[in-house]
Amino acid sequence: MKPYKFMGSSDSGVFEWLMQRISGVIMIVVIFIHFFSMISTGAWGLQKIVLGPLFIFGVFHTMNGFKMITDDYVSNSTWRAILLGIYWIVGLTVGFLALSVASMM
Amino acid sequence: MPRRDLVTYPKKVSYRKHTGMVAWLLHRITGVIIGLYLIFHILAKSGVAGWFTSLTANPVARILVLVLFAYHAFNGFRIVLIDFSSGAEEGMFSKQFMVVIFLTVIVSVLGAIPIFS
Repeated sequence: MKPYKFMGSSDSGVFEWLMQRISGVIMIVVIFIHFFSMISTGAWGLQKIVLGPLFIFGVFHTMNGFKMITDDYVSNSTWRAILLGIYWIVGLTVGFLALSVASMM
Repeated sequence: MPRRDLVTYPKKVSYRKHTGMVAWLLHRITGVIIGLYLIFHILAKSGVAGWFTSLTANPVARILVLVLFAYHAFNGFRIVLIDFSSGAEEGMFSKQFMVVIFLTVIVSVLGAIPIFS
């Protein structure tokens, strides 16, 4: 028998799990608007409305998704700390860049 | 003394390959690709990775992104139904998966028309 899956404490992760569902449902709506607005008109149009939620929930959903995959496969605490640190740095950097892009529109 | 926060499994685990597992695996794969796409998309829009814009300007690449996103979106909605509704009932997985594939094809075809026109 071999330690395989990091479980954390039994009551952690509920907020992330719920927010992954909520952000996912919001993302379905805003990305379809973003995509079809872009390819049909080529102009910003409705994209201006969805840009904020798209970036905020998109970056959260992406980084939390990566963390969920890490939870499944990485049990070593050192590697977990390194990977989660990378996710935070990438998430904050991309989020900051996204907001600067949105503010220029 | 074994740690209580770690679950132990046999070294070799054999998973049953059924529809739910295929849906889960595709969800993971599409999620990672879309996640990386989003990161580079934002980097490209902010002028850090301009090469990515020319890479994804190709209509085929756009449709590929749409297909991946459509599958991830519809299967994600299926997961929400499993968590909060009656989506986990026995015998539902295959039907739900077929609906996900059907909707993915429909949206991808509808999206491909303006991309190529």
